[in-house]
Amino acid sequence: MKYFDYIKTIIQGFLLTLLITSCIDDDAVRNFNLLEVNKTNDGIFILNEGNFNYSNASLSYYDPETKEVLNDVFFNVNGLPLGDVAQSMNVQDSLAYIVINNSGKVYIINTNNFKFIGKITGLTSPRYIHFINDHKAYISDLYARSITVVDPVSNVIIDRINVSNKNPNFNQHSTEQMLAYKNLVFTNCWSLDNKILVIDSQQDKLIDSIEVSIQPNSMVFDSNNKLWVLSDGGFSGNSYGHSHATLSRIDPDTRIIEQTFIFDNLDASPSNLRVHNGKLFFIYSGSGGANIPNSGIFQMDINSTELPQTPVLASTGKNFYGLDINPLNGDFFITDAGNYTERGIAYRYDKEFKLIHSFKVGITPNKSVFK
Amino acid sequence: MKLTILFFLIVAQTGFSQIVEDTTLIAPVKISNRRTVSSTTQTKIDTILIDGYLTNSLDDLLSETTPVFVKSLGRGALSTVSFRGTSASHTDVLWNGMSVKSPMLGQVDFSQFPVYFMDEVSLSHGGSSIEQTSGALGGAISLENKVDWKNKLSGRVLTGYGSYNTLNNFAQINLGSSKIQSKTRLFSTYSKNDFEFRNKNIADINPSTGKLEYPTQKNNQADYHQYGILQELYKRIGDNYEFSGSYWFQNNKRSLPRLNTYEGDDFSNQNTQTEQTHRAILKITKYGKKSSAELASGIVYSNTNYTLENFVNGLGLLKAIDSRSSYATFYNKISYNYNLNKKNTLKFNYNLNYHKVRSEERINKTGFDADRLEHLLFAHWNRKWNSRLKSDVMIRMNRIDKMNLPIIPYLGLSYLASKKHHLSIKTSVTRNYRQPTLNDLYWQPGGNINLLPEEGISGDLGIEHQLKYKKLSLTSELTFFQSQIKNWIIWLPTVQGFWQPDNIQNVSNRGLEVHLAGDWKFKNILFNFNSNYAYTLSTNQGDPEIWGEESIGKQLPYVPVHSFNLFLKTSYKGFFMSYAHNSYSERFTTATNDISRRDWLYPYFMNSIYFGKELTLKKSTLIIELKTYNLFNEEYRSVLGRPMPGRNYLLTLMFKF
Repeated sequence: MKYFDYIKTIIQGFLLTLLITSCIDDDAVRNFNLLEVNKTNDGIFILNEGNFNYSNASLSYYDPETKEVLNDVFFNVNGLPLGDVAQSMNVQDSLAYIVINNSGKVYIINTNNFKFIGKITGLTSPRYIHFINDHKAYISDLYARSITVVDPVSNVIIDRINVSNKNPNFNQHSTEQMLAYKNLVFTNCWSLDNKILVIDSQQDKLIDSIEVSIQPNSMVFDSNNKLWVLSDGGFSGNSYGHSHATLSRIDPDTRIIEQTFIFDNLDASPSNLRVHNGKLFFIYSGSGGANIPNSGIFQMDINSTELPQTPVLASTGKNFYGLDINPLNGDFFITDAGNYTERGIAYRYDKEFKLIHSFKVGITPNKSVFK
Repeated sequence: MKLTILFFLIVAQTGFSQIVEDTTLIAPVKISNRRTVSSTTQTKIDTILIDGYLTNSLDDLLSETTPVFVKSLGRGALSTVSFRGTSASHTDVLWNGMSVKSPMLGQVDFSQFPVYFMDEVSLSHGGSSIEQTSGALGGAISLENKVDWKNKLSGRVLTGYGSYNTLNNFAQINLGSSKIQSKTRLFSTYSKNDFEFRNKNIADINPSTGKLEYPTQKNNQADYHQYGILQELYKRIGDNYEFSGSYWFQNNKRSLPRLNTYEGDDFSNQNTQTEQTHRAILKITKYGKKSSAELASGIVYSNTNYTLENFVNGLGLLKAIDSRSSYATFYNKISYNYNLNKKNTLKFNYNLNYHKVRSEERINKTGFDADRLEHLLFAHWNRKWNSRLKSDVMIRMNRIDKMNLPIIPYLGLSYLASKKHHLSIKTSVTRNYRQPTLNDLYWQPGGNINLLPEEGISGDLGIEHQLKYKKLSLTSELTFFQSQIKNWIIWLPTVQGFWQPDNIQNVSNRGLEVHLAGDWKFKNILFNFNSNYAYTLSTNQGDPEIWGEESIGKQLPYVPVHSFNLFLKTSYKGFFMSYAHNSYSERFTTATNDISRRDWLYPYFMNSIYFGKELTLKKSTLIIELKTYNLFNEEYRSVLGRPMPGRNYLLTLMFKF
């Protein structure tokens, strides 16, 4: 009967399809001509942290002269994903060190051809890398309660600087950014903390701490050698507390807070403190994504006696996530993380905040790093 | 006799009549995911398939025998199920009528549901779930335990050993008479799960050649151990009353593997999760001449601990996250079914449910306590207009935490187009609402108490055909669906690093489901097959201001456009062989559907094969079976950054009496 033949054909068809299609081509992901480049001019890396637990961090490269954008360069050059949560990046001569937080490692690449040339592994939850000299670098850490000391020649861990305060209630201290002053390194403790730690970089020892407002998230040294610390004040429901965000100026020698500026709006959660030519810049936005009035890029003279009230660049319709200033010409590179799940945008403004160029980068762009 | 017929009529829709289970595997039981003749789109997974996946968890059974999409993070790891391009939280799971999804997460981890404990599994697709529950915008999965009143003494004992130190044990004993029955089941599954894999997400530089080499690693920290007990008790009191009680306890402990991009400290980033869940339900049913009434009361109590531990120099292993959450659900339902006359049937039920949850994270000192009171009212009118045309009208009215939700209506028609060819057509339309979960509202930090319920409007059109020709029987079904979900809740990261939910997605889903199943006897060889194909378009119609122009009209992340599965079984003189195939087309991981090789989830094809022999010894049978999973030893990924096992085996020995 016809019907019967028809069914038989279907069954045979099924089996045949299976035989043909039953191989997954996993190598197809890497089976492409790796990108070969040699970018010798002063370009800008844009680091895209990706989403936590998605392993989708990526690296973009921008040539400010030709305005050429190369996205996903680490993968395209090396055939490897960058990892999970690319937190920060530090350029040392011809090498760039990329700290990949939830992958417990630092990748080292050549800054011209982006080739993977080494890695520092075995870390706990690394955040930033800071070079003391050619034979010593510090890696801050969210959970290790110590700063890891590594030898950047052999890329091995040589020591740990204990920063635990043995507080049984909170994971303290977590360490973040590191700034050098004389023979000292200042590091901010952001997560559920309110300290700036002072480390002797010759002895590799914690020697002092400075208490600031809740959650210091970024800091800079100005041209007068004063340390500026921006604290976001936590957020509503934060167990460590929620207070007004502040900007503090600290004398690094006496470690005394000389002045503290308090933000009026409790919902404000400023971040990304930067300095250029005697002026401070930061992103002013709401805590937990809340919309607050006047959000955008704020500018403040280092000699100013009060906080600015309005932005020099409003963030209307944008989600400013990273702010960096090109030391060569004062160009602003501001990243927009959008809704965090799709590719973000990098904006390049001149020093008058006139838009020069904007381009798509990777998921959750957090930093622009200059060669 | 009358009672029996009535009994049949009343419970036929839940498939009570199917008492032929536990027959031998070789018996010519028709293998098809039967759908009842009604306007609703439902799939009942056949006993032969349930038996075939006995040693698996529910996610494997569903992915290989039904059109749902299963997203699994790996062997023994979190596994969620979604229908028709919706999300995992749009799938409700009912055990003996009681919803068992977590009131905190609003979803279920299907890797933690052993097939051992299921007698029947059925799916209500899309709006058809209104008959069971509300808020299941994607669909509902019903897990049922059934009694066999003819049983005197029966049971089965299974032991299995497989790759990666996997140990399976299961025992079941059924005891009773025509008045009282008891069923007891125990199971334990352990796996070290330390399979080897070539890690292509990291590389070492070969010092002599300078080339990158992928290291071979072991899937460490991925062990799991589940064990549990299910006790059922059934009693008939007089001619009209039936009592049933079931208690299910399960303990799950597992390590959650790190991402395969991890190259950090070996003693850090250690994730462990334990869960203890008690579920119990009591039911009393009274059968009258034209009606039946049922009173059901149940409780779920569940405790979950999750820890992230890091090794800290000088201090040892320290917890960076220590999260403890628990919930209790009290479930009460009263139902009344009434056959008005030959043409009209009415059903009513009322639920009074109470959920209490507690969540605590001891390191960051966050947490919340919350509760929810639900009044759920349901009415169903089924009318036979003539011998061909039937209609269903259903209405749900929910009052949750002193707030009345909009009415949930359902309207459906079924028409028997050809009696000779068993050809029927059905169509339905519904509007459904899903309330935000307690985590959505109160999670600290991030919970958003201003969330609105999600709203879904959906329609189905289906054709069903049954064919019997000599020794071939074949069921084929084709269902078109279309739905729109507004105010879809999505959790997005915030500047502060925590995630927050908002009603920001608007999704249009449409597509079709094809189901083909049947059996064919050729001389002494019996062939059974079951197959599904689904075509799913699930596109973002959200606000371009939030999603960006490039995301609009794009397929949602992790929803495959094409999915297909096939289960084929042949048996001959006690020997049997089954073949299972499951495939998905490529899936995107971003809202904009970026084609990046790094994040590419290429098409997925998975094959398994099972061989066995059944030996009959008087009244008992001994079955020996070798299961080979990932037959072609594929190296693959099904989500980003998670290792998957190569070819692996499980040898089982089962004794049935």
